[in-house]
Amino acid sequence: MATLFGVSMDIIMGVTLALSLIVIGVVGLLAWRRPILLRLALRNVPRRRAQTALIVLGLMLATLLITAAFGTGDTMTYSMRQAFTASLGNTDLTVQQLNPQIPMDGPPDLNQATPTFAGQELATLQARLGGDARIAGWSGTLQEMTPLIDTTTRQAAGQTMLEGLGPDAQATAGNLTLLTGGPLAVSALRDGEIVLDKAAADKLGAQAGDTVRVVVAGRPQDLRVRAVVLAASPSTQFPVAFVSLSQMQALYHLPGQISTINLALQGDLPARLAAGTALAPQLRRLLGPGFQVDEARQSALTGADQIGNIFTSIFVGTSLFSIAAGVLLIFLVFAMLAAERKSEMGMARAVGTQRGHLTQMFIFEGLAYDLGAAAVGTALGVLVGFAMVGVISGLLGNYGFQLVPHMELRSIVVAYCLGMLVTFFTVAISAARVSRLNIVAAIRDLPDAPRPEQRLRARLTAPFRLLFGEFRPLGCLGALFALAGSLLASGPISGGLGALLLAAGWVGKNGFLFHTGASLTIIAIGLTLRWLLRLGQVRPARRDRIAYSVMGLGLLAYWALPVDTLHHWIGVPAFGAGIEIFFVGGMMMVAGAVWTIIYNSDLLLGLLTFALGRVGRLRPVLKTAVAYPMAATFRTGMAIAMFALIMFVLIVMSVLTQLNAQFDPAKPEATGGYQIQATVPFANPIRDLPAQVAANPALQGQFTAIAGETLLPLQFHQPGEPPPLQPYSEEDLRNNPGLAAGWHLYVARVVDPAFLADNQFKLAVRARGYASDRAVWDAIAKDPTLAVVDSLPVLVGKSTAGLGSTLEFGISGVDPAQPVMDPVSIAWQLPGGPGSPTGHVTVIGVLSQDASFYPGMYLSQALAARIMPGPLPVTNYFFRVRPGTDPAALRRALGSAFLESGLEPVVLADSLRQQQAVGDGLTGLLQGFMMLGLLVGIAALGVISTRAVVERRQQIGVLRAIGYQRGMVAGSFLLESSFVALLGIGIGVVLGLVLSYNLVQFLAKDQPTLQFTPPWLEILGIVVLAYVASLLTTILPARSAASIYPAEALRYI
Amino acid sequence: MVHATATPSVPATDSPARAPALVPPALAPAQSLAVEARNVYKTYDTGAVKVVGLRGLSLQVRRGEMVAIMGPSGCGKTTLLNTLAGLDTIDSGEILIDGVPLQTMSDRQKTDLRARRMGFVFQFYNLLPVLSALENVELPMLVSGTGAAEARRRAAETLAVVGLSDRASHRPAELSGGQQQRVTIARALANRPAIVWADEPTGDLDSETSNEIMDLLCRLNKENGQTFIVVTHSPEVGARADRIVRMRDGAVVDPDRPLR
Repeated sequence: MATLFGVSMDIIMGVTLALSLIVIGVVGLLAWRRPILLRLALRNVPRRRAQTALIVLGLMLATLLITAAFGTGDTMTYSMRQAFTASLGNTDLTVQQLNPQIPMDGPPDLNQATPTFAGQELATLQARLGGDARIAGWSGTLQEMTPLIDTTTRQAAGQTMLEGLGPDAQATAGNLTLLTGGPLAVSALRDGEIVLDKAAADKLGAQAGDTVRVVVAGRPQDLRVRAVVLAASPSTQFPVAFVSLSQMQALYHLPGQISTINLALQGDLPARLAAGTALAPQLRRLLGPGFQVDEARQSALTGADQIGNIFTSIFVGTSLFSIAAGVLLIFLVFAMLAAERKSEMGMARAVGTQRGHLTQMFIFEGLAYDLGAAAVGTALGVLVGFAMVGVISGLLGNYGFQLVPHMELRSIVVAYCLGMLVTFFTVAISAARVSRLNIVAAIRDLPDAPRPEQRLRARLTAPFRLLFGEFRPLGCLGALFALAGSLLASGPISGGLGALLLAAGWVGKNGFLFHTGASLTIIAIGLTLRWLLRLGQVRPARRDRIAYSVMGLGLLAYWALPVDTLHHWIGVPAFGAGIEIFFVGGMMMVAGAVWTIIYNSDLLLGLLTFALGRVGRLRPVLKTAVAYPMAATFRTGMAIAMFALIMFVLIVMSVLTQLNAQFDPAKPEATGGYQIQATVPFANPIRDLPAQVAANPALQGQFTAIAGETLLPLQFHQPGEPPPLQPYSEEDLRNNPGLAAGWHLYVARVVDPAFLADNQFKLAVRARGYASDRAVWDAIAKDPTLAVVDSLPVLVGKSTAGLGSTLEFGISGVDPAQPVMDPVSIAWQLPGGPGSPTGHVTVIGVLSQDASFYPGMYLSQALAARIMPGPLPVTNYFFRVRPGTDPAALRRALGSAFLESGLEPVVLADSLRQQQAVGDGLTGLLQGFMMLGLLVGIAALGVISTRAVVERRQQIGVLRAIGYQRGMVAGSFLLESSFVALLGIGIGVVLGLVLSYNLVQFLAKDQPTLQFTPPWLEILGIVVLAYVASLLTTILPARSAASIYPAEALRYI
Repeated sequence: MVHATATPSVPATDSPARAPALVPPALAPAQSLAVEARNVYKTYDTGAVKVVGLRGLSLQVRRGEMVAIMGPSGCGKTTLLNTLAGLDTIDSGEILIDGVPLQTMSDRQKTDLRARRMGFVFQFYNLLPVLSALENVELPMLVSGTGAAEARRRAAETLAVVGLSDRASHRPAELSGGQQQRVTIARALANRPAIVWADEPTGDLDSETSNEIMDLLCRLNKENGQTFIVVTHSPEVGARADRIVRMRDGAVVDPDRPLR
């Protein structure tokens, strides 16, 4: 994992490590100056071992989540690097011929024929580069997709990448590793032999000595399996087999032809990468425009790193809520510690301890917990990360990915430092907060009286007085923080900041800034109101209630607005909904709900007391169970917020996952009404497949329709659209100069007349004048200048409307939510720049999003005939089976009938469900990862309950004295936890449902079939799990409270 | 049987106003014993050492009597009160409440007995800080199964008796020490207990407030005929009782010294 959110991990490590060392250094210096404070602080650590364990647990969660996310990312990066570079052997650079029809960037379409060139090019190149010391070896290879059949087992691998290796390939490919261990020299390959990689051998059921038949253009050739080697394919999407270059050239009747020149470079990895970067431009100059030079190793590593970064970003992004809850927990833990030591601290202050000394003691103690917790969190995070890798590995197993658990030392250092710093700064702020106490109130354990507010002038001058008057740099820093806090807490200043962010978001079309600014403005309104009420001599409790209710309800109302409401009302840009906005929204909604409830707790208490007044003997228990949390607003608010945050994100995830489940991959809108799809290699086309099916006794009469298509990569451009804002890379532009002018690569699906005549894909939008979907398809059959496109370009066009074009192909002017559109003219051209064939098509229909597995511009074969002369081989066949027949059986029959053609049929529903299952599995894993955050809420309740038992020991004695049975005491504690947990859970569920409802409505504008159908059972399961887990942590404290003997409790001080 | 009557609210002051009497529901003949301890032993085992709390203590308290238990610190006064009230267990001997031995009762029965027949006044008030004065007073009634409305009415009446009607909605932190102790007394009496246990009821109060509190306790004792067992260090408080029981080293040294 090289970057995190686009920032280099090396930079992140440098910064976090430096900050960590500074923190430890400063704290160490303070401890050295006042060792007595350090000793006093550290004595608290072993004082209550169970509590210390709970604190460490609470403090480690943020580190654990960060580490687990990094572990997943590192494993993905490492495994992908291994997989991507395995097939390269020693190859660092590759040269291939640019075929105007086959762009080499983007995902490879291996159904296409591979362009070849004379092997003499290799000799010429070698001669021109002479004895460049950086080059370790050269080789020429020839690759093509081929069907293989094991004549012994009668198993086939319809699409296998067959690679011809010359004797010189030893230098670039290196040795192949035998499945049984040991090397197999490439140069030892002889004509008549074939080497299979494990994927191919598994598919064929082959072993060394078997005879494998290679079929090229219908002509079979038998080869003997010399050996089986480890998986060698770069993507492992296809099996791989090796033959000698001369054998390959003979098979394909391409004497002297190769498809790739490979170069191996000297030195270690950095040296090879640097040499590759230097040599590539030189090779391009020598080869001219017809060739493409790829820094293969660099590309493989970059691709692997990108995949790792995507996983890390997703997991870190989704754990933000849990980390936020973890930060709240740290605040809570330290508030509890302060409450426990309130009278001690009061006494210490009374006998002359400075406030700063108390802060320092908390910081010393906090850092001790922090260092330990970060270490435990990192270790557990590695385990959790690897467990998640195990799950992902299981999900991707069918795709042949081998995930190797791996974690970089750099990631461990960054995770440790990040977790440590997040915890330390939270601890430092908590320490400063809790050490501000009223000495008398603390000694007598009375509630703190409200502090008189310091005048602004005193706050403004405090840092200077401390720095220049008493020379207390740390005190000055604290005063600066206090000043910043008080400035933000004053309405006008935070309002100004909010307005600034609002404006910046509006002008810069940045939703994150806009919504953050709007939220800050709402908070500022409440703060200003509070300030005005203070001027109006309104008593503190009332003014807080009014101000925080205004803020809370304002935030709830703002974030509950349907997405894009402000866009429709006042013309704010349509920002959409990204993960960062989701995070801000969640935080603000939860804050709003908690403020509203906590500052109106008396109303809630009254309501509950009124409601519970009818419960009889349970009444006193319920009364105390509700009264205690409502009296301790800070800790209750924190605990509620933690639960609410995690539940909120879990509910939103559940609802969104449910949307995926609404998609039925077997319905005709998703499959075109076909049940079987079969692919065939481009170089091995089947002549008149429908006729062969009709003539085959096992297949005749089994299908009601057979359609075909050929995938072609074309470039498209909507006239009048601006060129992309984001520039293409030099390499992209060199290969496709048209990109600069706004051309975008997009797949063209050239469909045959049978497809046009009877496919059942559903159109979401039709051009004016077409009464039905059928009319649209019929029109294309008649007029080759007409086309249908899938919904993706339309969605891209819509989301980028007014923002400029992006790298993706977009079509503007079509609203996917409206059933009717005006026809849109789209220009097309073959890749390759000026001189390439070009033309226009008119889009008269947009496929529904149900057809998302079949993206592309649907063109007729008549149009393709204008682009490319000669018959276009069909590479994709669609079969509609006769009602009442078994698609799986027919799939097997088709495979058997066209074994030698390499036809690979799949049952569409099964294949699509499998792809869907991977998505569902990954989402489920994300949900599971987020559920780790529940530990935060559960730990919080454990901390609160344990503390409550200690804190209320005497009161428990009183309750027992006045007649509370043991069960009533235990019940009161359990009900109290239940009250907090259920309130948090309830807020999270309601807010999650509100936000997900808005999201679904927003998405449904583009996909009208989407419905808001919350998975109630799953939600119930999450609620029950969270509630039961929270109860489990409070059972022990509750039992402990109940078992206290009354006299013992009353004696306790 | 005399029932309490509704009480008009009285000015907020630490001084109790005249108020209607509160009478236990079933007053037994005056001469019968409310509490009896026979040869009670109680030892605290702290692990390292064993501390003898009560050493063969015997005591009798008649119904309607106000008894002060006095003695030096550590002599076992609070231990005696706790064991007599069933808040703590004994090692041997016998304790009878209304003639029923406590040892034969389960924890549930003892708790139930406390809820229905006993009231407690503590030195540090021990009010529940999260409940208002009124809610603190009504809590024991709710525990013993009194209906919500009835509990609320009687709590208000009792607060009026102790002169705190206008402080009913205040939480303990918003009351002075004397006011809190009155709320404690109101809580102890609201359920019309037969026996009221008071552990240093004036220990945390100044002398003037102590006198007011003792005036209140004595008045209630006389008017309602409830049994009061008061643990105290204070000779002034002891002097207000019917009788002083003096203790030393876990035993009664002067069990029957009537003052009035």
